[in-house]
Amino acid sequence: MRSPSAGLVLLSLVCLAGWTSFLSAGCGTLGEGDGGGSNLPSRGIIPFSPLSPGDHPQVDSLPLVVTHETARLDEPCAVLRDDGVWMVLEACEAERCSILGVVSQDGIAFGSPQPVLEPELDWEEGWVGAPAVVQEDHLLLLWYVGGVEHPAIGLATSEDGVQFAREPEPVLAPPSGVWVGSPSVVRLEGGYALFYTMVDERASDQPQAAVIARADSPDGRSWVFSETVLQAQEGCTDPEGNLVECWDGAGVASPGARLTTSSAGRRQFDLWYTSDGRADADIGFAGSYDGREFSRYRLNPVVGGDEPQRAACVLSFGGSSLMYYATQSDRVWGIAVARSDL
Amino acid sequence: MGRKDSRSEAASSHRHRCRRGRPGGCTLAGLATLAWLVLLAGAGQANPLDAFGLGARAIGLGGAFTGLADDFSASYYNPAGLAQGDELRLELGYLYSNPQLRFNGRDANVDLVKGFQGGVILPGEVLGLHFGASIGLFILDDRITRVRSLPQRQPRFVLFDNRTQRIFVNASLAIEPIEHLFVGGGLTFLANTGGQLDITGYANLINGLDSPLQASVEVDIQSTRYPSFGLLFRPSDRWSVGLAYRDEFYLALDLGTLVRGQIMLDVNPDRPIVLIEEAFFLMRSINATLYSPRQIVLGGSYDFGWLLVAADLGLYLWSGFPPPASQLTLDLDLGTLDFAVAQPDAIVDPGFSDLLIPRVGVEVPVHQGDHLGLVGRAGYFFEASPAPEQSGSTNYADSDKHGLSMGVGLSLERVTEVFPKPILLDLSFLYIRMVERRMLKEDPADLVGDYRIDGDFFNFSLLLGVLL
Repeated sequence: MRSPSAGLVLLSLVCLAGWTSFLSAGCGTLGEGDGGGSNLPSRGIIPFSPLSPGDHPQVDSLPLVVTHETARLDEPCAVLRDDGVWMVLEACEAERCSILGVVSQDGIAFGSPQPVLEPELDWEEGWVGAPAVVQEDHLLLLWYVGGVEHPAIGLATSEDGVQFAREPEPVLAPPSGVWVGSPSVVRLEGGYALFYTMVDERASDQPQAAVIARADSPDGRSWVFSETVLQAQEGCTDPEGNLVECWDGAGVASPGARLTTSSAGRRQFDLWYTSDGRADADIGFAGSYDGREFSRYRLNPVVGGDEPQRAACVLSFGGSSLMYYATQSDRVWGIAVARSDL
Repeated sequence: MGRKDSRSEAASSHRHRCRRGRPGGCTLAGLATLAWLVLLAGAGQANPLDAFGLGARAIGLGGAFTGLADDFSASYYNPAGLAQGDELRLELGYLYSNPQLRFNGRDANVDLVKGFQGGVILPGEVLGLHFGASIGLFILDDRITRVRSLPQRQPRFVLFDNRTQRIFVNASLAIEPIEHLFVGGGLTFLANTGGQLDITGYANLINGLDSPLQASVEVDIQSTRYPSFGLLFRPSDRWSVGLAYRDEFYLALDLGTLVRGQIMLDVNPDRPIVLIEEAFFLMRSINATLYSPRQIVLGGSYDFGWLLVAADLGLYLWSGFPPPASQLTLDLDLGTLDFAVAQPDAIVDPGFSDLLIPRVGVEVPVHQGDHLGLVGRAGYFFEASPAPEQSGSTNYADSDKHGLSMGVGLSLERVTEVFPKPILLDLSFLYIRMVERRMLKEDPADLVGDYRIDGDFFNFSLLLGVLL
């Protein structure tokens, strides 16, 4: 056996150094991959990007996807139906409001709105609007607001989306001094949860800020007021956790609720709502695990702009989340859509 | 006779040569090595080895190598082991790790870790003491290093982000002060990176294109290093006990952007109105891009002849983990204009926990002929996650990991006159399973929301070594 000579040792070291230098000099690149930044988890609160003119070849009216020649459209609510999207909405002309239905196969290009519900009953006082719809098997359950002096919430059902049979009396009639509007219904195990706008002026002569309330029902017909789940100027904090003035401090209204399952398998409530009492109303988000204690998204609003945006309804369709909301474009009130691909 | 025994024979033979035959040559070689280590001191980087290991035999044994430490990877596992041999040992190989880590079942595309590994162990004698000096390397083959500075809310597999994307350069030295007892230490070299972007000029509020600005970039790379130490007691070829210490270190990325100048209203090009004489905006980001905890590892091995068993138990002090997020400082001065920038979120202590990581490995001689020796290896380790539940604003994703390894070692002995000593070829495969973990957020309006993580790692390591 031989022991290594000093020359051989040095030769080895020189070779090693050369090998190191070669690799270092030749491989100073950015490397492969994106560093683990793909498919990051997201609650799906943002970003919702409103569609703009030119984003869809068949829709010339963007950012509006549903418009009416004479009526102001508001309060959209959409469900998946027949491999497409079926949307109901409120259409108001002069002193009269009705509910229209409109269909799309891709969630963006809609046909012409068709009448779904006209005011007929005495308690509706010539005014029906703010529809909320839930589909159970082949049955469509449609809650709506009727009445002007004393708005209440009624129920109509249909199997084809054309012929609706309505309950003769309101299913939720608030006491005098309480104003209700904009229902949104979530199907739960063993019943339903109704989220709606409420203004309670019984305790004061002064105008009160709108809140979002919850009622519960085992069958969708007999509702019991449960509690207020979101109110203005409550629970807004800065990054340090200090209480600050809420973005929606003038009032909260027009809830669009939906029940989802988180990626970890936990039930969660999404509540899209509108800042009330401001001309430039915007759309914010609050979340909850029990549907009773809601927490606002810290960077609300999630959809805003120069024009007012209100009454959001969010639907998962075709791998995206579509948010339908009412807004104004060129002095026309219609329904716009914003899309999130997360 | 197993492969280890034949290696020991060769080592023993060479040790006598070096001590009694040509001490001058060994001393000269040792000094040359030490000089080379000093020269290298400014060029080093950090290591991904805490994550996957180094070498091939060590990885095949599940990383239970503190009590063995007889190849170049001893510079990482236990530098004291470097003084065990009497041959000049050159090793070169390749390490490949493919992490498939998932958020909610979908691949996050965490970067591959792949590169050349190798080193040299030089035995010798200085002042009557037998020593072993080494350089150990792991060099990524697709980048020198990677630095990412992320906000704390952004989900990331925190232990496989920047930590594994580094070069490892280690210089170690071990001696045998008394018979059977080896003492060693080493330095691993790192680079702190800092820099500043300096922008000066004036901004025209009316015509933004007419805003001449000059920019300069200053980057400062400072050398830093952390030590490691080891003890190894090997009273016989049958058993050994080792203790290794690796110090804590972290690399900081310190970046600043400074914008200074005038803000003007250029309504009349001949007589621009200066709104603000000395506008000032400073943004500074400090980010701990890489962290390795202080580690104390106790290991041992016992050779039954037909079976070699090795085990390690390591204490990893992850509680010192600094926030791996950009700590932003913003300062804006627009004079009389009432304008302020929103301050970023306060950085939250990650709250990592200290860990005990057990490792065990076995090696079985399969064949030992005159020219060919073959051993099989297997190993296992369990690495709990130091990361707490990510229920708040941070998203440092990590979970418990089970590592299962296997490998083979081939020794070709007296194949040619050129290489009368063994040529060693080691191959190992390591599979790591990151078990599923659910991160549940306290805030139901959290931007990230609940999520699941899980993952798999597929690692291959190849090493060719020659003894001279």
